Amino acid sequence: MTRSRSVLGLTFVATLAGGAMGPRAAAQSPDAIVAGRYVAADGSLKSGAAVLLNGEKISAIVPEADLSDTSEVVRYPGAVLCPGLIDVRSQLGAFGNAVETAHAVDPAASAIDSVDWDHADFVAAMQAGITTVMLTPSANNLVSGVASTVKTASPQGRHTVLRADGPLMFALGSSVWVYDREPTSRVGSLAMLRAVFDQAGRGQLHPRLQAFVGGKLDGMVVCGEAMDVSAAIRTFRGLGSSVAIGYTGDEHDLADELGSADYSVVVGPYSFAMTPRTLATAGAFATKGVSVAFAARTPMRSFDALRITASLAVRHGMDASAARRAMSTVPAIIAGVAKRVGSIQPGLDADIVVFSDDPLRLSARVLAVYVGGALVYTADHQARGDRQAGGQSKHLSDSAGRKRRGASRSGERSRASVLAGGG
Amino acid sequence: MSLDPGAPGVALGKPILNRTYPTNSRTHNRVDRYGLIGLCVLCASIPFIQPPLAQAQPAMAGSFLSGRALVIRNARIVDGAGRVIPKADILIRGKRIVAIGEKVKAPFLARHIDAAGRTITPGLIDGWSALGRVGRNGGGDPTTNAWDAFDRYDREAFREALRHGVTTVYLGPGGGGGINGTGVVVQLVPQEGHTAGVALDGTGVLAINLGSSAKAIKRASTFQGIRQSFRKAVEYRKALEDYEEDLKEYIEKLEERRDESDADESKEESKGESEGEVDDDEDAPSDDAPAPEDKPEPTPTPKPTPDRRAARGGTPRLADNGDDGDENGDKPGKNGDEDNGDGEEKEDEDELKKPQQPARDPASDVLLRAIDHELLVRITAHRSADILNALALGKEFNLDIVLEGATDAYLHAEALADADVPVVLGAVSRSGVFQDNEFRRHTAHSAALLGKAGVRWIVGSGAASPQSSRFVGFNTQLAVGHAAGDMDWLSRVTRDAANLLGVANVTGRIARGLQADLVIWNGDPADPGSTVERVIVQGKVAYVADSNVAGGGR
Repeated sequence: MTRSRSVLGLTFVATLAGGAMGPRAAAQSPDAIVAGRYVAADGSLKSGAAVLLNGEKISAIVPEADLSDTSEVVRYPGAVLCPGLIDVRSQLGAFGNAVETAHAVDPAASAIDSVDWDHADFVAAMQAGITTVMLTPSANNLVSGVASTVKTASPQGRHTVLRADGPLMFALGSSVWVYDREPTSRVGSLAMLRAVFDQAGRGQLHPRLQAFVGGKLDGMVVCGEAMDVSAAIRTFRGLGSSVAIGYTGDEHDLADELGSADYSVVVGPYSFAMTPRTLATAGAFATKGVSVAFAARTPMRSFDALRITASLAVRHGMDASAARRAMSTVPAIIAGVAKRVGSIQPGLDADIVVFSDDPLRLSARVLAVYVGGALVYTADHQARGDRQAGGQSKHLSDSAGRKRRGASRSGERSRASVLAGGG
Repeated sequence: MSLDPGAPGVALGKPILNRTYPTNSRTHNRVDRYGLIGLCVLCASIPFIQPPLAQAQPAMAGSFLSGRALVIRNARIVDGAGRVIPKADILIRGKRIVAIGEKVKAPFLARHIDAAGRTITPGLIDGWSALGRVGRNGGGDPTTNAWDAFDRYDREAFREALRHGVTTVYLGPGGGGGINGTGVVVQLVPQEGHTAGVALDGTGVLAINLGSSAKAIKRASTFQGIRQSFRKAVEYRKALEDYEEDLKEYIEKLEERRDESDADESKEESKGESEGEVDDDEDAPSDDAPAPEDKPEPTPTPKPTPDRRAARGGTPRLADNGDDGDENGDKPGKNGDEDNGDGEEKEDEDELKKPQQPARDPASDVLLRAIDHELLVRITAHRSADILNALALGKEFNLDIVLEGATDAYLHAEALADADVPVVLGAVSRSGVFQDNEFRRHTAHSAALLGKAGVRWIVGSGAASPQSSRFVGFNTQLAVGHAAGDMDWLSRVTRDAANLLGVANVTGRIARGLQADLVIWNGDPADPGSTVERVIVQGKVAYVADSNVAGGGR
């Protein structure tokens, strides 16, 4: 009697303790995650593999058959493992407050300075599969400081800052000349910018500008119209360690100029109201070999905007693998954090989102999110209706090698966390 | 003789059959006439005698050929009701599917489409669309028809919708708070004369907007105004019914009097008296008797227009009694059975006053159709208070209501389920900022929560922009993606939408007897990489993809 009561008491205390430490602390990183398919480094869907984890990192991808019996394996039959999505033009936690427009050239600013780390949008973004965001100022200054790249959730409960010193952010277009200060025109914008680069090249102005002109700092130029893109290509030639151009217009012919300058492009987000030509631009660029990344501009647009952009681009001709890379791999390169995140590859952080289907399909949903190898979100079991094995997806599936979409995901393995709100 | 239209000298008007007939002058003329007619018929049919088409072409290309049956072979069919047929043929005649089966026997001269490797689904249905909207729709007038406000010639917009598999849309009147007119279901099939779509009969829906103003007090007063309009309609009907009864009584009394007067007349005649004013004597007790030919009276018409219309025949219900020719017999004010208390003499006169027909009220006529369940009532409401008001309106006047928008509906899911009120949701994914308005409590899980409580729901494009109609499939997928549980997005946007719009006996599924509204995809329609190759609407090929597949080029 006494013994069982004390066991009960111990269990009770242990549970309390476990709860007090927080679900993230209690969750341990599994040894391996297995799903029906995963998104490979080239953006294609491959099957039959297990992703091995080693603490916070991915250690290897091996055939599922090679898994040893002693590993702690989490299985998601029929699901798709995707690298955590990355929004490369975000103002999460900083909306409305991320740029100083008194002076059009403001290299000293840092987007990270205005972030509210406790904002609920971080959780909402993570639950939509966005595990990393690059915080950028609005495109209202010629030079608006440096962007910062942070994770939207972390096992340790604090936001991992992957990078705080770049890229340097520029903007060209009508959004720059609407304020009561210089420049007030396109002509003025480019004259000012050239003057700034001249001076920085001579060792004047802010060290960031000097580093950029000297080819030691990367940059991103957000452009409004196609002529702003052409102007950017002309003006930034030879500058910056790498340059990305933000452009969500419909001028397909820019692909040649962009290709020859070896600039990547940040496109999006796309909306259902845009013209067919605009929606086809991402595909037109990708077909010509330009590196394309999608942006969701969270929180101004919905948290589904990244996948909506990808779906619309694919429907209008973009290659599906390129579209998947555009949601995580290319943004990581543009943000300068490709050595940490962006694809499911050995050596990178285990930031993995488990989708119920190909993430390009808008009917796919997030089943679980791992950041740094730890489960930080699992979709709410109770909200799930009756899942028939196979169900609808059996009817519409046409690939012989595809596993059946089975019942729900592991979740039983760890008790962790439906953070704020659940499914 | 060659009928090549390019050949010169096809002489019109020259009788060519002349030679084979005797040259009798009368026959000559007849032959001339017949020959001329025959030639005209032949020439008129030249455009339709084209090299036989192996593949079906868009409908406008040859109307003679479009009368032929259409067979689609070897298709994988997803029928919209959750069933998949791995391989079958579909036979279409006229507008309808007449057969689905393994090897359908093709009738003579049928057109063929080989759909091997393709997937066929029903046409997608956007239950809340603004396709073809130009500028702002008006509002506030229940008698307007939404289809009149849309650009039915906007072939580009309609084609872009077909390109993404949308064949049928519900178009509602826009407008602010109030009763804004009737919406209608439109199918995107080219018609004669450049029209790009056709409205389906019997699909009218009365559209009411409860949610447009940001001010609560304005929304409340709008709602009261709407209730007032419905009450007015009910009273209007009562007034019409009363009028009919009164009119009947009046006619009967007239008959009685005439009979009496005839009887008296014959009595008097038999007495041998002849007075000039016999007729008038009989009518003497009431000076205001119906004898318009004798007494030109001023025509009191407090509302000239309706009365004239009434006199000309009125509404069908009143047609039989409306035209007694008593244009001058209308008296102001009272119905026949009112007693003005002036004494016995006057009572007679009052009884024979023709009752005045209530003025026509077209707006109330529309509302009565809603009360009679001929029209569904579609209420746009987002906030909780407006949703509850909508339910109350439905209950008070016994209306069949559908909620549109319904952002807060998930908070009242049980009440909606109990009242069996279905919901049309709009954009599923919304930004979280700038939402200090009717979308403040928006959630992408709305559909899931409603479904769990047993509320019927579909997803439309939301009518925020005309162009988003084409992506109703994607929007529906988002709703399904945010719903826990496996849900068939395709059935939601085909069969379920057809049910909610009241066109399930026409479209929404691939089944024998239903209309042929089909989309031929070159892959799995759930895969965004799949594109539409062909769309058939009402049995006609309404869309064929350009050969330039990548991005469509436009």
